[in-house]
Amino acid sequence: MAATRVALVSAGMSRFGMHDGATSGLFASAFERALTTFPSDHEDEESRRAAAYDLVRRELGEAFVGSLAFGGSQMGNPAALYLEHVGLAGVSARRVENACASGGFALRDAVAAVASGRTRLAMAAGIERMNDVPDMHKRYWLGVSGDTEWERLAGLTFPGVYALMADRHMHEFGTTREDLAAVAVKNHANGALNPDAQFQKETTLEKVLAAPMVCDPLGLFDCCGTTDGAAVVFVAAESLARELVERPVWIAGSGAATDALAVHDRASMTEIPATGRALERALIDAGRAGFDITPADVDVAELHDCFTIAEILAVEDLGFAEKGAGGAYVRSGATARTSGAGPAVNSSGGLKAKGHPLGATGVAQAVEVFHQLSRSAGKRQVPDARVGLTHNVGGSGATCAVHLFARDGEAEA
Amino acid sequence: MSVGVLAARRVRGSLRVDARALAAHLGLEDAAPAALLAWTDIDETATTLAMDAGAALLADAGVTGHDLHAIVLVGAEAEMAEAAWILRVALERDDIPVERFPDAESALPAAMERARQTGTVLLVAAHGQTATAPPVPAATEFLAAEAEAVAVIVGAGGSAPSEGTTVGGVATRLAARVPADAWPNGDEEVDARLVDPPTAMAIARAWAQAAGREPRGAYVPPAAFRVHAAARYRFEGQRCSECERLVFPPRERCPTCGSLHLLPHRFVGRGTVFALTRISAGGAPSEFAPQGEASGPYRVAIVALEEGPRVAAMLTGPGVDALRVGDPVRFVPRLLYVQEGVARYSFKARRA
Repeated sequence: MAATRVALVSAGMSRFGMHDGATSGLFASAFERALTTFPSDHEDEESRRAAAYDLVRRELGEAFVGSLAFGGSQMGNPAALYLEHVGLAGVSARRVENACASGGFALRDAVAAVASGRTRLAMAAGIERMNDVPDMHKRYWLGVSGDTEWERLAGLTFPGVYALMADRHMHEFGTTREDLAAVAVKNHANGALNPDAQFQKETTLEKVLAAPMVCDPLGLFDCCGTTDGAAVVFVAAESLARELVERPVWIAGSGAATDALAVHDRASMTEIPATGRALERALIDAGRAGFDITPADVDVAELHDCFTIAEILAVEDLGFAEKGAGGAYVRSGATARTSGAGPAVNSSGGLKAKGHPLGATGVAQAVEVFHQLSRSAGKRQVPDARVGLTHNVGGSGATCAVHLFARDGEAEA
Repeated sequence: MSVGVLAARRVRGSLRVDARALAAHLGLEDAAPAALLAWTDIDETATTLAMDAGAALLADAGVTGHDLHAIVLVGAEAEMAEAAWILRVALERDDIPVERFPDAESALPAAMERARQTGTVLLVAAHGQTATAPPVPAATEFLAAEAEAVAVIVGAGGSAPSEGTTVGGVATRLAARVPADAWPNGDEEVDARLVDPPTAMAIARAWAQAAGREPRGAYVPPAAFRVHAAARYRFEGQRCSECERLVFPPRERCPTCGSLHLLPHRFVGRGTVFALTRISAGGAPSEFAPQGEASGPYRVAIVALEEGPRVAAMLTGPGVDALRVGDPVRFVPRLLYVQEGVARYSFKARRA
């Protein structure tokens, strides 16, 4: 059967940060907010939610819940647990896991479930609870997504591996700590305008540079924090989308790739090769669906800035900046929300300011793009945003999912 | 002295430590010249010495792993089972008989007897060994009798040294007998180094504390260490017979061409620093937390092996802080951590 176009019809996220209460409650809060953003003729929120919920109960055929299941307290069958909590027991559902790219791959799978015709409506969710475990336990789990035998036993976890990439990028291209800090400053400025962000305060270059070292050259403010959070989006087949809304937000293309798990086993340590591969596949996918999109067309991009260096690598790997010139590109202000000189990068505040609940991030990126392309991003609105991109990486680059989005009527071939 | 090594070996003129003078001070001048070696790093134990310096000491005596006739171990059963297995892998002697004794007092006579019968014995005492030590005169007599045939390695890294009964205590008494001007000052080129007794005591205490705390971290099962033992302890990787790519660690198929026809290839264990970072407590895996608390932030490098492939390795040894991208390094076996009472070892990189 021919593939159908897929639309992003609603998107919701919880407040990211520290969550009191059960993890299923965290899921529910994102789910309920997604219900309120469903297109609807109703004016009041309660009726909107009720109508959307009826629709979901009728049409939802597949659910993909991205989560590392950090802490291990509910690794088995969490999808069933969360769905039952919101009255959806019975739906075909599963946990999807690719470390920090779990959400992006959940989105990819939801898109495929709809595109293939298996269901007219699929859910992509992401959820992570990181702050309800003791500190040493947390540090254990922060190291599970690298190569245990050949990276962890050398004394490396997540920040250590990215620090080594930063060291090499500085060595080869002269990238400076100021370049890294500029990423943090920009993202905190955006996060200050996001009521769902974990950190809503601006910061300065001086503060970032003066922070204590975590893994040289990455200091405390070069690193994202640990975050509790959930995000839920619904994707629909074209036929259903057109019943709901006049101008759907399309998921124009989806691409994904893997690479060697250990950073030193990859072709390069100054890029994430899986990013380029995933982007290429997403662009081809978009072409097949009748869209005409190149990186130059992207207006808003949610990129995976788990560490400041990661955003510099991403703007290079996605073709927004020349290889090696990512630092200068960020320092130039081109990635700022209002620059217009290139895509606005991480208008949500990114992982750095919005927070990084590992499995939720890839879906939360889609939530931001949904609001930008629907013109509902409030104070963070990027003027005239028509084409969006999300970039979600697992670990230090072992997995990557890239998605392209277009407002209806834009970027048609 | 946190650890002492008594070895019968020929004097090496290139050593800046005057082994002859030391031997005289220790009353060992009648033996074939002896050298007193100590290690100072928190990640060195008797087992790593046996694998690394021990192999060198054996070589000095004109002895290789293949000339050894027996290994005599001293220590608790769980630790010794692991040490025995690792030494067999490192020495490439699956067949070598291993005997275990609970303390040095019973082990040393047995080692002497084996040496008389067979010619060559390796004696290893576990870190954390607190049992009664052989009195120094007995060790001296032993060396005098068997000097050129036997390497004796005595380690006591884990126990806080105290006077009298522990091997650490013996080593401390030995060290106290060495006059100040016999100690070298931070000679970083010499593999064999001495530290003054107060420093040694501090290191031994820190190590004892660190070793005593069970880290909670990634549980890498014994099976996983055994599968990759040849890679971890002998640098055995592969060469693809179809596209010539060198592979380390070993894989099922060639990462480049997918071929199943991978031949064994032994890497030399040297390379250059490709990237560097220093890991503070917040950035370290939880199982390295005790080490971090005892000796502060540690450095990790990506090393480009001489033959091409890259590996990640913690840095160890002298001059670590001065290492830069491009500097040559070589690999040495070192302790990672102790989990469930069993010491885990791997390679770390040090200045070449």
